[in-house]
Amino acid sequence: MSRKAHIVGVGESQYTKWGRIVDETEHALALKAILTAVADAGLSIDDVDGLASFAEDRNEAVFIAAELGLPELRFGNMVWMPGGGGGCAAVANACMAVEAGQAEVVVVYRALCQGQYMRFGSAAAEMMVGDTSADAPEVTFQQANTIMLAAMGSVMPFGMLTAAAAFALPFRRHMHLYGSTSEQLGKIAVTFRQHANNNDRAVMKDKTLTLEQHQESRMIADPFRLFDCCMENDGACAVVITTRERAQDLAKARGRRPVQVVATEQGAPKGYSFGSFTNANIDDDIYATGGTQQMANRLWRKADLQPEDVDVAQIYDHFTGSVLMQLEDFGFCKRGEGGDFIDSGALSVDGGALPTNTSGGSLSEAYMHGLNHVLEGARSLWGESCNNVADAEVCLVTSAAGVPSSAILLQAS
Amino acid sequence: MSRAKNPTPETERWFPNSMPAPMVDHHTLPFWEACSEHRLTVQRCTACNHAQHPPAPICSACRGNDFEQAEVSGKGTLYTYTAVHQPITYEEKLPFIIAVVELDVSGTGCANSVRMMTNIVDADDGDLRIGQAVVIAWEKVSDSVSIPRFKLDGLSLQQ
Ligand SMILES: [Zn+2]
Repeated sequence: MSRKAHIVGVGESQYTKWGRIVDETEHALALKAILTAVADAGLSIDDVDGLASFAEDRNEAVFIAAELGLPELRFGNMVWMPGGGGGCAAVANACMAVEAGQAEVVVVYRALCQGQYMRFGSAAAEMMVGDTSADAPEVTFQQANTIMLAAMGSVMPFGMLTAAAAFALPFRRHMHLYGSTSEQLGKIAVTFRQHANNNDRAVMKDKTLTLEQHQESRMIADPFRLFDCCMENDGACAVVITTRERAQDLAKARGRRPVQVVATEQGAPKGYSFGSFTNANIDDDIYATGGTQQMANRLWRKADLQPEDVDVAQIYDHFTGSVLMQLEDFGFCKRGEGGDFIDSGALSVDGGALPTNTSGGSLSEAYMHGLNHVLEGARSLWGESCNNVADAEVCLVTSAAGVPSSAILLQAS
Repeated sequence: MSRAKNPTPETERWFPNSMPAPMVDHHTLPFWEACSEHRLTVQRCTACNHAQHPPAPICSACRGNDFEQAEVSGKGTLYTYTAVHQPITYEEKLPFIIAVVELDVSGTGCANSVRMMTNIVDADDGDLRIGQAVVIAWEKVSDSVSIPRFKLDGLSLQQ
């Protein structure tokens, strides 16, 4: 029987505004999400023999395996693609493990309790700002002890310490080259919010958003306004990967169509390092993009699918501008036409050509470093989304653009 | 706030001392040491003339490891920018501008142009257009540390 990897279960904890979860630890949330996802698959936790994560996960697999009481941990894996670029890559690694026979059932998980740690949006600044006391010593160089600090150390004297500023730089150039606008970004935010308003799990379930509110929201890093930036949240989510052989039985028992991970890719263009965060010398022809076009081309070839075959998409949305540029990277429209594509209403589940982020995404469901996009990808093919697209068979899920990234294509059979 | 231990700056100050100081390693230190002498440099490979910034252990074009820090003119063009409205240190004036500047490397023997992350000072974001000419504006923050920021070139002529 085929060992081709399938998604068989998904689960999450409650998602909240960042800092709201104070009476549970981050690793307890991870356990909760994993147990929920395994139960959703119709498996026993004793069936799990692999764990995979990404983005410098604090909740190391060896401890999670011990706390879960797994009979044996045969595969423990972490992606090196930075931050939200690695969510789909973690799924990819889980798929490779089950297809290679290194594990039978791998759970990919992500837990975030930013109130108990430093928030991503401010962590770098909090770590690195200088001594501001009146008797501060003379300003001198600090020692960069790691390759990461050497890279950051060359840009942080200019205040390059937040993701908003890092990803605003390429999008500002996109606006210059192609005439894309803040209003087009606003339409992305508004559409995803409308999707989240139907989603009981969404942090923004009860908060509506209009284009006017978007345009009046305060500037964060020009051209990104408040509502162009994703949330920061507490919570956890998990996805269960196993072989086709098991997936067919599990799907039948759940009354679901099996959802196969038909293709996975990771990609970092030449010299990309940490993307626009640290690298001002990204090649000119890809600077004002999501940096994911090469990877996207490989993904389509590997899956033998085309952009036109996609029924529903879950596009990583740390910033609205990155969504627009990824739509171009993945070939849903031509380079420079992302704004027109958005103006056409394409992203809306209400009749759009490419219903996107049907759960609300990181802008409006929850910021789980994009692993929640994978959960929604499976649900959208099972017909278990809060915003189902009729007869959807193919779903694209992407991870963060503007940094080394990853993507997967899911197909119901 | 008094800063008795900091020398009186000889150049203008645009950012507070709380803005992070450069973090350096063995490879990037020569760039920052040249900055302290108000010389803007890029790392040029002596074998193939590939220029790169920030400096790295080996040349990403030919993988050689013999370099010089080639001094550039301090002129450039604005490649992209963002006006940051969120405080980094809670002391700087907002918004401030982070920019990517394409450096003029003419006369250096460098085989390629190089961009660097920097700030544009003495300008409102409404003044900025991608492609504008910019010129170095050194900010001396101490005897050992100067930061290469930029301003619009020819601004004084327009006034
Ligand atoms: Zn070389």
